[in-house]
Amino acid sequence: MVVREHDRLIDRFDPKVMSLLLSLDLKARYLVEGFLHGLHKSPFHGISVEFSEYRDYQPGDDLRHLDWQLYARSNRLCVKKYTQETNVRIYLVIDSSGSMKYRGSDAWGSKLDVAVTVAAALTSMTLKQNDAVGLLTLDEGATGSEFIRPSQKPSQFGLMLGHLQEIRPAGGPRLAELLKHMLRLIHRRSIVLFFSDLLEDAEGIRDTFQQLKFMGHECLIFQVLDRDEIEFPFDRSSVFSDLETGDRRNVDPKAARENYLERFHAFLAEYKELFQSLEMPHCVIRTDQEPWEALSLFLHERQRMM
Amino acid sequence: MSLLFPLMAFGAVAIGIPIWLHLRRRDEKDLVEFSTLRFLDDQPVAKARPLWPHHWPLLLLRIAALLLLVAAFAWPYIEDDEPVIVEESRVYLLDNTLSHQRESGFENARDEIADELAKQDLSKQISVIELSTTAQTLVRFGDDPNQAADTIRELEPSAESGNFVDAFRAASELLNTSLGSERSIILRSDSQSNQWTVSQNAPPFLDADIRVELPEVSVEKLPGVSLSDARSGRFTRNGKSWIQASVTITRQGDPGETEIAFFDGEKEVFRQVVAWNEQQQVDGYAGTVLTEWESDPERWMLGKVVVQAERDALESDNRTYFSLPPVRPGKVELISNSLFLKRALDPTVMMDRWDIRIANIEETVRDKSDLPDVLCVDARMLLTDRVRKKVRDDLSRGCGVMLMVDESNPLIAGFLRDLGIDWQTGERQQTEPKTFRYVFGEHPIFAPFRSSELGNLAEIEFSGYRKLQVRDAVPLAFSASGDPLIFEVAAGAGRMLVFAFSMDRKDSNWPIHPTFIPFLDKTLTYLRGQPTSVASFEPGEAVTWELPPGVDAEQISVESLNPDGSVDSAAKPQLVDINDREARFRAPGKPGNYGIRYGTEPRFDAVLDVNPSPLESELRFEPQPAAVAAWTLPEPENTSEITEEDSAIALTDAEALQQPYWWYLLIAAVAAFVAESVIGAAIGRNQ
Repeated sequence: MVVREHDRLIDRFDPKVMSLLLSLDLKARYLVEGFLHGLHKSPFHGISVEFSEYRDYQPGDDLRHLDWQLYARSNRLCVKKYTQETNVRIYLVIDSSGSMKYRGSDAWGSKLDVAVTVAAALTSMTLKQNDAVGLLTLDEGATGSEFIRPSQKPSQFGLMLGHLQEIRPAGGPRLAELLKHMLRLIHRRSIVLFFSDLLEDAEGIRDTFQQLKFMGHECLIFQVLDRDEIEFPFDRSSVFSDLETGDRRNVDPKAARENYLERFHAFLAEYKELFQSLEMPHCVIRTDQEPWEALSLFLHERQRMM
Repeated sequence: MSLLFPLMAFGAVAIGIPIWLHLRRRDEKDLVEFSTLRFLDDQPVAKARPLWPHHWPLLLLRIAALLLLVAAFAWPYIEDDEPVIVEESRVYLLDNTLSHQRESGFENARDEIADELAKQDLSKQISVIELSTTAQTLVRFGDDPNQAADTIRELEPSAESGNFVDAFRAASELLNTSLGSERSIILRSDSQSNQWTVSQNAPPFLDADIRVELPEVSVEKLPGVSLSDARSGRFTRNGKSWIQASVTITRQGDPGETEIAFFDGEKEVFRQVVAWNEQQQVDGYAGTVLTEWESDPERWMLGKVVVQAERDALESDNRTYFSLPPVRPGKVELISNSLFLKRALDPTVMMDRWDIRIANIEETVRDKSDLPDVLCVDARMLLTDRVRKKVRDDLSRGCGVMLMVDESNPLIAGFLRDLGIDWQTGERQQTEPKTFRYVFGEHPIFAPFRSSELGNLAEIEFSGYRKLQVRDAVPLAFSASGDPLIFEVAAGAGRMLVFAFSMDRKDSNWPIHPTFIPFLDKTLTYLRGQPTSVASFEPGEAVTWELPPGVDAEQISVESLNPDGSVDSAAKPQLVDINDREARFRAPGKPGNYGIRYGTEPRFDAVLDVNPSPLESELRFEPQPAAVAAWTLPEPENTSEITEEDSAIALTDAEALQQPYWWYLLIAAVAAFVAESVIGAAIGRNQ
């Protein structure tokens, strides 16, 4: 079902428009509206509040809940009872390491921009379905973390946007550190939406993901990658400088492409295998394409958990 | 070439900067910041290439620009292999005043300095300052010696006057930027006493180590006669026009037999041997010689007085020039009830000077050929519309207006308000008879009264006047209580003087005072746009020549005149631009009569008399002037010896800037940078 809907949604996303939108709020709205309008049946119907039964009115009950039609028909004062669905806590965890700064020539934003925009869109969607949403990321100096407690208040959206806009890519590999903060701060069973390019050794973080799984958290992994990283389209000999470490290498792309692609896809496969083994949904978001798959994955998993 | 300064070494090190920048920029240009470097291998082949310069012209230009800059800024510290040490800096003060013409003193000094300049070697710096009305630096240190010598040889003796202090100050400033370890000022002058004493009390400014070489003075005083203060005027006797002229003759020492002659143009009109009587045979005696002769009233009188004495040491001051304009009586239209004004302007009083016309206030049309030069009007007459129109019309066509405010009335107040004059109080201020508190003595209507010949204005007492408040006007005289009594108003093309009192006895005793008629004459003359006193200046003196009303010109021409009134074609005319109706220039350096022309017509419009200063005729000389000691600063306590090395590197910024090589290096550096930018931009476009 997800794949079929996704095919129709492609027309509703234009990377150029996305790159021209300056406000994160607008970007998130553009993404959500475009996504929701493309669905035949909204998955949000009926997931918030459902009617359960009547009971007799007692003094002190809220008059708003009186069923006036029933009163007209039967001359009885009855109060409607509702069943509130159990809301879940959703954490957005965003990797802000230096490599997330990369932006290819065809991308509508840097990897961090894309991660933040998708995160903002998901924030909007989760708040609409009365789920509590919070944020975790590392601060710019890499000395501590930025943490927003989950909340389902409407004002949470503004707070989240404010913090998402302030995230700046900096420093070297920070994934392991971020995961440590996750373990320390997230205690109750939650859904963790994890945004990262995962450009670190899978072995180094395997244990942490296993621990998250053990604690009962549902983790959705959104791996943000650029076309340049996936396809390596360079053709001119240049000095390549690492965004995280500052190391430099003289590279002739024509000679290095085959070797690079082989290593990179092996790296992707390793992570895919890891997340499959941990039963963690994983999808790749390309910075030059629409992120519908990520949104669909989230809705799919959310429905599955209900 | 040797390195004398450590910074030179730092400058040389800086040459490496462009190479590093060049390589660095090339390296940065192809840099790709990438995220998945861990999947790429380093390829050693590419590593060596960026280190090799790619654009040689750019690299060479950058190196050249830096080298040139380093050389330019190191220039003051670069010494030749065989350094030339400047041993002496010398400033010559060449006195070019009138008294130095005695016995060809100026010519001898001029030639001596020119010879000295011509044979100047590199161990000596020479500068020359000419002393006349101002001190002018003719030759600076570092000027080409042969060219400087020619400049000095071309100097002509002047008849100007000047004192030494400005020349010494200029010399001191020059020596402050000199290179020589020995500094001296050499005065080539006759060392006239008054040239020293005029500014003897100036505060000290000369450094103690500056040597001052004074001229040798063999005599302290010389005999001589001189002329000054030539005055002249026209008068009518028996229907004929006469000129009365006087001159002051001053003797010094015993000049011997003296003869004086007056000339009207080329014609000698008076000659007399001056017989000095016993009382007059004293040093500095000044007497007046007066004569009169019949003259043509229709032409300019260009006069000259010449004196000759048996033992006169200085002949250059033996003549003085004066002039008188042709008789052109002015026309005054009187619209006043003042009997005193009518009487003062009566033809028997103002013959050949002013033609009075008592205006008919009823007349509506005025004869254009008979328009007045000056309009004298009482304020009460302004009640009539025709009079108000007359005043407006006359002012706009350049006629002068003399307005006596003798009455207050709303209609008059309104008219005066249009001219910028407000009533402060409408009533007449009745006071005890009191004199002027202050008069603007420099103004042409008061300037002739600074000497007592025309009477004393301080004796005039006012008992009543109108209190007026005037915008955009110049108050010229104030009452004892500080209220303006006379002021000049800018109300049109013509000049306008407003008197806050009437010309009647009820307001002041002026109408019966001896100064009344001369003052009226000077006032009307000023309002007519003519000079009220003799236009006599000293050679080189600053002149501010005001254009008379009704004359419009962009330039005036000052030309030397022959005695017959024709223009001296051999002399070059001096053209002066007019700004704000004023021409500012220096009076010609040679005594004589000079014609001033406003337009292109051959006749001249005014005459400027140029006569030497009486100070130049005082032939007293000072062998050891006290002024030099007074001007010298006390010697500093810790004086360090100036070494040879210090002399070589002590090139000041000013001197470095004067060296052409410095500029060549700097310009070449800039050119190299420009070329580098152009080539760099072209390479960038191609890539």
